[in-house]
Amino acid sequence: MIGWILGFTAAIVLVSVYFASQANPQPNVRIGVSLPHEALNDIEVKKITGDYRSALRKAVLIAAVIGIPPFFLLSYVSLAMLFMFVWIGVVFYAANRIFIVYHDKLIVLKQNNRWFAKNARIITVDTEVSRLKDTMPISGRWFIIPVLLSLLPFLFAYLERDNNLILITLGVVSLTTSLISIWLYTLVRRESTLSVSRDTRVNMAYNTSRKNTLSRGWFLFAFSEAIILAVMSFLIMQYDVNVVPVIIAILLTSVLGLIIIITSYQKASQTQQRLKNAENDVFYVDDDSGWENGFLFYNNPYDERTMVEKRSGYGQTINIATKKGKAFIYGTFAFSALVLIGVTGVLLWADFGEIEMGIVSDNNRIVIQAPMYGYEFNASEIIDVAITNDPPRGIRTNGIATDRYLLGNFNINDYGKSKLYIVGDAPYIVVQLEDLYIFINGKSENQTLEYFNLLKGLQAH
Amino acid sequence: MILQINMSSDVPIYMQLRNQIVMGIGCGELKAGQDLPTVRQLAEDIGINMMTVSKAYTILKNEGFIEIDRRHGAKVRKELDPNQQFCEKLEAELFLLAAESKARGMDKADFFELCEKIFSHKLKEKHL
Repeated sequence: MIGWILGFTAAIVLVSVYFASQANPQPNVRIGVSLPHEALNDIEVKKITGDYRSALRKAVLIAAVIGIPPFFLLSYVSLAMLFMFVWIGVVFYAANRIFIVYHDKLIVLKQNNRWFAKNARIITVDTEVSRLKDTMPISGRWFIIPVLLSLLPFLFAYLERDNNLILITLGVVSLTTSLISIWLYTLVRRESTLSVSRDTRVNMAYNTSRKNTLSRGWFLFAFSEAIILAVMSFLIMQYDVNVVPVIIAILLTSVLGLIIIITSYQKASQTQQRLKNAENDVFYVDDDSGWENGFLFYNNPYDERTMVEKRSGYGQTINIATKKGKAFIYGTFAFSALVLIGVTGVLLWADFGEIEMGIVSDNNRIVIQAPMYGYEFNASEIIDVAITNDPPRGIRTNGIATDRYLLGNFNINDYGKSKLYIVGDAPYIVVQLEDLYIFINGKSENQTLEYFNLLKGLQAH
Repeated sequence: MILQINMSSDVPIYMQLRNQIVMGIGCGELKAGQDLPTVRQLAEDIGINMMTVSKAYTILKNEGFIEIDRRHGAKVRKELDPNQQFCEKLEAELFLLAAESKARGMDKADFFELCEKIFSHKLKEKHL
């Protein structure tokens, strides 16, 4: 299971890095450099963009090979996760480095050919287009539908009390997705218009196609996520579905969302290209400053916008030269660092912390020491102690399951609510308490038998 | 009309905005009564502070080129006439330009010819 999740994440990272870093949302931009129309088919330009693509392909291939080792580390989840986090960081860093190298090459070529340097830092705005920009995207009211749909899982959770942790999680996922889409929709709405011609009608069509397609895209994204999650929650409420198909469905939904967004960006870009091709009197905006540091972030102190449209890839990025942009970046980095350290720390503790069972003799108290999921109970609470060779099978509700150990809270078939402290092979001790089963064993059979005799002895008292 | 703002120019951005809108009205690219973008829309599209746009609009309003309505935003004024204040300003500026031209040895005929060319051709040319 954890292997599938890691593999899926790694694949998404590689695919998105490969496709996003060479996508050109503005038709006359290559590797973050704006070029005149006639230069787009220049042999040297084509060579540099071709080299960039093949360098990127090689990097993706190398990254895929380097990404294999964690799949042999699956019994140590913490190490596999740690490797994965570092790997994702390295992949993004490498893709950005490659971008910078070829971006610089293209800038040099542009300067040597004197491709319109005189227009530098001139911003062109069509007043009619600017005035009508708010009419271009679809109305924000459409987003009421996904928001209402994303409240359904909460309603189902209220109706069905047994499964409500999963249902509430689905509701939170759905609502967050809707709110993020609304935020991205407002960014599209506010995004500055681009004027490509002296003809206002061309400029109107050029900007309307983009804002309309993208705002529709974000609505469709929010709507499809909300409806799939609502249907899923309904099925869970009605038929008690297992966790695994739920996770698979969530992953598939995110892939669907990705496809919707990429398709809308491509569609918008194609329409704009068509309009530009049909127009004779096209003027290009030439402004490369701010993109020297790669495709991930924009850095232009002369631009007051916090969010700008990406030059390579899809969507928006942050202007790290502004105060808000800096705050956002530092905040995000600090937060993710905290989460990463927290998650890997906890997992390292679980992987390398000792699971032991000790007994406090004076008041017949049994203490199971384990990372995070330690437990204590009185000898008098024991109803039965048995030993079995059948490994416990069921659903993990809150715990950790790897090839080496099972730890935490599970729902075990034929038993029910259980706590597992399994660190070795069969046999397993099953301790029955009121409303709870405890599965425990030692690393060796001898230790397991020792625990068993201890518990049996206490029960006899 | 198309505004072209040079971000690396010595002329302040609000002045560039003011001058270009005045030229747009003069050349007929902006018609009398035509709506202009709101302060927010223009600031977003140029990527500058709302205060800068607001400053340009305030100047244009004080000079009588546009009117600002809280509900409908800004628009080009319908009746634009050379008022007393403008005539005084024009005289002062023309005086300076004529003096500069004379100082550099330009004669009256050349100066008038240039004025005639700008007034009837350049402004008309763009009008079409």
